[in-house]
Amino acid sequence: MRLVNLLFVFVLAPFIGLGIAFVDFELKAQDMSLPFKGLNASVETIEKDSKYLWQNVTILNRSAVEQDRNYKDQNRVLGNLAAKSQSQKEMSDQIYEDRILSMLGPPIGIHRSARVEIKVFKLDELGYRGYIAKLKLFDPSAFNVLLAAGGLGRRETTERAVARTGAVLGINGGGFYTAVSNGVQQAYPIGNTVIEGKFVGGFNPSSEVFFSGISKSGKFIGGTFTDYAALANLEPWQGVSFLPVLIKGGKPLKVPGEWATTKQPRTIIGEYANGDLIMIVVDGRQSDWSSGVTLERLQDKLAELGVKEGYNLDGGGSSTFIFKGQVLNRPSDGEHRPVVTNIIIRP
Amino acid sequence: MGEQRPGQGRSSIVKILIALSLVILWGGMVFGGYYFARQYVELSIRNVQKTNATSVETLGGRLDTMSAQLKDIENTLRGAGLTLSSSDSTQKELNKKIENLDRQLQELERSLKTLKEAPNAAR
Repeated sequence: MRLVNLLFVFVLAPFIGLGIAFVDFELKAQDMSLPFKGLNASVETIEKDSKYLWQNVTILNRSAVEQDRNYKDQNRVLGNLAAKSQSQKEMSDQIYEDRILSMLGPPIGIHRSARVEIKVFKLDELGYRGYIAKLKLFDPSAFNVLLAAGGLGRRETTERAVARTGAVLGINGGGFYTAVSNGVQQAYPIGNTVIEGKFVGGFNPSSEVFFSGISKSGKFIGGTFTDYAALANLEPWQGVSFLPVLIKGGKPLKVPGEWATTKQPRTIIGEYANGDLIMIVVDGRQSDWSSGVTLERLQDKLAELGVKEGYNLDGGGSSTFIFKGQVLNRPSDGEHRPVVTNIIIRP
Repeated sequence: MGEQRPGQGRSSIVKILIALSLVILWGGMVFGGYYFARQYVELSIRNVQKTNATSVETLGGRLDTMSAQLKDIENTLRGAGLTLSSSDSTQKELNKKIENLDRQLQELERSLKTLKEAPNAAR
């Protein structure tokens, strides 16, 4: 029996060992658990950061949307303001135009093209008559100063100049003088004449003889120039010279006494405050039709019409006004006087 | 050769039966120990696996949530980018309109000045 007990003890020995080995096996098995503790902490941090990032991104997005909406609102407001400003300007321009037209009366002739709008009016005042052309120059190439056919030294009637160029409007141009050269009488413009940006016969400084014409952009240029650079800086494109200046900045200037009080046929070029050009031809030396006008009276008339700049071109028998192929005025010589320069407007 | 006594054969059979019983008992105990140990080990491992699976599932869920949130962030950022890009072009347009308005106001100012110089219609 003792042997049997001994045998049992020996037989049970491995089980006892196994029992001892498994005493804390469950606890030890926990070591096989994945290390989620550290991972959880990291994930929590990322979650927090992600949440913070989301909040910031949401704020950013909201700000961007808000900014975009503000820009669009401002854009709309500016669009409205621009439209209002444009309409106000158009209204203001129209009122000015209406005022000018109300002073000029109903037009007797109109020409409209992509290059120019011309309205022709009759001038019928006490003691003198004439014609006025008001021009809106859309394309400066419509405005031309012409030397007589044959070039410098020659003369040509305004009618002939208009006919050979197909112009819609023509008036005589700047003053001129004659000189005999090699037994032949030649005629030359006084002061400065500019054709397509080139000075004909060079620059002639003067504090009395003015230059009037247009720049390459179609802006009116007028004044006396003693310095080439002063005129060249204005980029003259077409223009002629004579004297005196009648109106400058809307104010009449003092004219020499003899010029001021003598009634003569006159040719005037000028500009309105809105940039429209004005060309006037007044007949004279014909008591049954028109005696002519003194420059003083003409200054008053120009001021009354609202002209801002006014320049007296060559007058007397040279004064001619042609519109749509017809000589509207009555040149005082009874025939057309050939002149050195003419101003024509192409249709 | 001795003579076999009666009962001597029966005693041998009893011994053999006892030995056999002991062997069977021992075998049963070995199996019992094996079974118990196996159950114990498997249960412990299953518990750990269960814990791991739960943790992985929880973590997976959190990662999915984070992934969705990151996707949202990406979409929101893309939206913000588009809005800012649109704002940029709107701002450029705005600047152009401001310049345009400035020019128009200058023109209006000139026009109003011109209007001041207009001749008085009432002669």
